[in-house]
Amino acid sequence: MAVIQLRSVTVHFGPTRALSDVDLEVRRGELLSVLGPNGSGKTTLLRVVAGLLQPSDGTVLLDGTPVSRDTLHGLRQRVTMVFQRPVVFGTTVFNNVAYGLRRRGLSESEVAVQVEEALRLVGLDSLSTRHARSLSGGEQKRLSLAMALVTQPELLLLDEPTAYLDAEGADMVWRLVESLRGTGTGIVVATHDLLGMTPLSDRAVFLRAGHVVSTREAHGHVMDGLAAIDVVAPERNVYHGHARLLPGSSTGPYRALVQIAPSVTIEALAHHGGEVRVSVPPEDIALSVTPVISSARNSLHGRVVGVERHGDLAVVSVDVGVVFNTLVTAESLARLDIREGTAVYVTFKASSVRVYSAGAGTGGGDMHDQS
Amino acid sequence: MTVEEEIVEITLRSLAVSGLATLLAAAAGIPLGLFLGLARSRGRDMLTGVFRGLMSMPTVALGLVLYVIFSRSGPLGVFRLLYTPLALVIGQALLVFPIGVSITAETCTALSSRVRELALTLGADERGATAAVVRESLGGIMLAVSASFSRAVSELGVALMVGGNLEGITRVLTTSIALETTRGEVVLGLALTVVLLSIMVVFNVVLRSAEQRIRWWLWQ
Repeated sequence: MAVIQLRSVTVHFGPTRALSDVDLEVRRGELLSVLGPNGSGKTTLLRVVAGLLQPSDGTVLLDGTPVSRDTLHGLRQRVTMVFQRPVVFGTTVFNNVAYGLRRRGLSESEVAVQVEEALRLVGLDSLSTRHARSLSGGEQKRLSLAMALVTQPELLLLDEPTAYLDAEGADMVWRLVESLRGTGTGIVVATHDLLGMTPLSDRAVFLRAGHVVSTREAHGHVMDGLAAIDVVAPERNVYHGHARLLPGSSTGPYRALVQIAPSVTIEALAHHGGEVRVSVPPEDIALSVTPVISSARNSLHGRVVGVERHGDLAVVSVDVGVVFNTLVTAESLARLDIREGTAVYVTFKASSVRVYSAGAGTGGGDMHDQS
Repeated sequence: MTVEEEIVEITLRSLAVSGLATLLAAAAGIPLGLFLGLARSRGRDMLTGVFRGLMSMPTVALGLVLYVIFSRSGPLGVFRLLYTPLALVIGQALLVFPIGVSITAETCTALSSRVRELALTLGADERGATAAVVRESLGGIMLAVSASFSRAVSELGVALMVGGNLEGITRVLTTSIALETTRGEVVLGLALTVVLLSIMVVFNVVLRSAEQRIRWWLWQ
């Protein structure tokens, strides 16, 4: 059953349309991933769901009833958002975590017990008397999480939850998210880092330029970030392939040749051979009209088959046997006089190629693209 | 009266005049600054810009305008304020008023949306969220008070133009320093300068300490 429903929600910031005609429901206890590149409207969507931003058009429903000015506070009491950039109050760590509990009228003895528990969960229990602003960025991020968790929201919205965190901190966040599964708390995770996303989602929604372009449902199963990435595979240059390790170093990662199409083989760094999935971030690919002499191990010749401008940037699609999407500045586009049909080289380092086991993330069962 | 006694008297007068001027300016300027910082209207940016511009008003220009207003033939001449300590207080208060408004508004604006949204998402109502923004703006408010007092106690133009540097009545530290220097009493001028600088340093240390206490109290 849906806790929150968005119906034809549109959000304008001046002339900019941040969300366009979005329909979405967030169900009780589910883990929903909101995926999309920077600027696609993920944060705006979360702020609308959290009741922090009024849509310019459309309706937000809470338990099937349209949210009004009178019921907005009720919505906010049930939905808590953790912001991408940690925001903390200028007081002690303890007071920060206690803030939400005190707003709910808990006694100080209850507050103390719950604050201690929340701080222990995020590994900050030894820092409760420290001034929150003296913490590092990663610690402030953990603190933000504790401030939200302690309020025991019905719906927890996490905007880029691993931003500012090291690998250990990111693991802790995903472990916490996993631990909330089955407790009845719904979780919405917004992220642009598809490959860094490891929690097992029940559903994934992909946003582009303010539109929901695709929704994927696991239908009783779950899917991880790699399964969810299929939603956006064409944009992120994700290919299935066969990896063959090259003789050389004795410890991994090893140099490997990965055949991703009958006529296309790229060099990568891999820990194992066999069936793999590879991803080449568009922003890591250099585009040139003449061959480039460099240390990069991959330089493929092809023809431009598409140019899509996004402000100062452009996505250029190049067919080299498979289609690679590359991200270049509009200035470079003009300087190199690149247009559809132009013969170009795409160049990237072996270390830019991310290699994943083909089996990972395919346990999502029966998934349906609803785009 | 010995030189030492005279220095103490001038110092106390400076403290009283500038302290009162800062208090008056802060009492009006900080609420206005908070209002501008919290407001979400279109005119806010323009008004904040005007106050920011007025922060750098030349003291002699303000002194001249007030001289005209307070002089016998001026609109407020009937009150006979010219060359009185009250004229000094009014002049300095007007001088530092834009500082209080501007710094408070800028701090509050910078914090407003992020702190407000944090408070709201953690369960505060609109009033609680506004209180959170005001509480988080404390650092800016104290900075506004600090900058206002420092500007008031160290200005010369208004003190000379509407105070007249009358011995025992409107003579303050800055006018004394100017007078002693023109008289050739450079050492005395330097001594008064040290006193002036000490006042500013001590005032800011005390204010900083007060800020920490207020912050602690606000979270109890």
